[in-house]
Amino acid sequence: MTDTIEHRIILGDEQAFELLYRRYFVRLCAFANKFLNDPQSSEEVVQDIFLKLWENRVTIRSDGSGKSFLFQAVHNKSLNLLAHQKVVNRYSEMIKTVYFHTEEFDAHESLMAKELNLRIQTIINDLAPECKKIFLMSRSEGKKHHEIAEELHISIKTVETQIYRALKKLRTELSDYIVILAIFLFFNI
Amino acid sequence: MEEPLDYTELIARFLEKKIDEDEFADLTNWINESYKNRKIFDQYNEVWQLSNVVFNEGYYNTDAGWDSLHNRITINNTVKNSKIRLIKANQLIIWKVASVAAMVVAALFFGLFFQKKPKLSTNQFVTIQSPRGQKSKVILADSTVVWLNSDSQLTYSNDFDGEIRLVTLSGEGYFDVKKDRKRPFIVRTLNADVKVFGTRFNVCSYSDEQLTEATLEEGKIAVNIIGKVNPVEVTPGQRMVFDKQSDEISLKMVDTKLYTSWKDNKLRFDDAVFADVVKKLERWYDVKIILDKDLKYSERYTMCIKTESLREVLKRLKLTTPMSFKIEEEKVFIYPKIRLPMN
Repeated sequence: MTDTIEHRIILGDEQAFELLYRRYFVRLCAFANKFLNDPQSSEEVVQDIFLKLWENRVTIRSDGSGKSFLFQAVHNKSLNLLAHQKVVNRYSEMIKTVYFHTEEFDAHESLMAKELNLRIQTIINDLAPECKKIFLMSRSEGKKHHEIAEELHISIKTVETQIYRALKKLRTELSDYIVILAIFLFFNI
Repeated sequence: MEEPLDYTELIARFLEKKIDEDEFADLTNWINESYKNRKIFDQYNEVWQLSNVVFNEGYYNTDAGWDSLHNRITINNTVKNSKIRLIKANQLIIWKVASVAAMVVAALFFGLFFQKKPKLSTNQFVTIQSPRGQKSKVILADSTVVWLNSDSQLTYSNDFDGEIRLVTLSGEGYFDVKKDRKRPFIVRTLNADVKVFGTRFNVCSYSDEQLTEATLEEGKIAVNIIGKVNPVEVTPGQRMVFDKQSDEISLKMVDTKLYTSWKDNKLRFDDAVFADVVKKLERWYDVKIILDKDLKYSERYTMCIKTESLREVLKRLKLTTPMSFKIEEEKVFIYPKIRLPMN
């Protein structure tokens, strides 16, 4: 019998549940972190959503795919948490401004896209060598701007410019990629 | 053309938590300006989070996460189970006995034996499975009776006394639902929910088949097709068919016996196409039927099978169809009859 993962989960198949978990855990955490800016809280939100999904698997009925249900649930829970946060800082203030004002805002397209890692790596590889090197030192090795500047004997300003350039490139290329992907999905090619 | 202020830089500084008071005010103004600006911010935010994940493997630890979640699930179940034991131990035992008894009765009734017994799984759901070639009968806690056709599975919570009576069905089942106006009984399948209060009906929803069907003998049912707004109301004698490929629903008056008699161990066909007959026979007898590609399916079949063996049924098919067959253990090969030259 070839059942969908969703159906197998409803029937109490723990392996199917684990599969779903392993497939989306990291992306959902990254998604939650867009709102929470705290990896630990983000992980907790995602854990809670998965726990709820498992406990209520028979009564939860998501139309379409379980995947969009998960993203929606994480989105709601994160924003809810943010709204009830006791300590307000600059970060949460900004996030609220961006995400509470726009109802229809529900962008997690790139997080849902397939072959995403590969795509990002391609974009990074296509950057100018200096730009790529600095971006990876910052993002992958977690080095501070002044550390990179010292190591490469360049100014902090240059380090920053290169990092922003890389981000800009990623954003433009990814959003183009997502648009193309959406068209493909729409026509079911 | 030069941009008045590069907001990429501001956004990046914000995400890196390096933004100062003035820059923060600038960014806030810019964000408030338009939807487009908020969208751009969102895209940067997403790219930022993504680069954390992509370039730092193990930033979020899936293995550790799963282990901890798995523990929580197991602990929750233990707590809940022990609660049930304390509060309504009697009920649970009676219920267990009843369900086992139901299986025994069913086994006697059909003269069959079961490969799988109902089990009280740790996650508090009971699954009853009717293997291929076999049928079973189950009596639920509310005294609703369910006949399960072969290759079908019924799942329900052992906490059956909530606001709704919910069961999940994969395959085909005939339901004789105990009347309870206050608590609807819902049969959940892959493509539809069938909601009833007390009635007799048949639901057929095999995951490898294109059609989801509900046939009503008595009472009233409402079928909620997933993705459709309005439920389809089915009245007695009607059969609702949902075709998931064409996304179409049809509702027709039928002889309901054709669709429900399997529970009385009769397999009926009325003007059925060959492919239909083959699929039903495969499940009924637990065989794999392999059709020769040259076989033409133009014939229509009307017949009733009761106690006949597979060989007898195939012989009857042969009377009206130009075909030959060969049985090899669990496989049946059907191919066109070799026409011998006349005279």
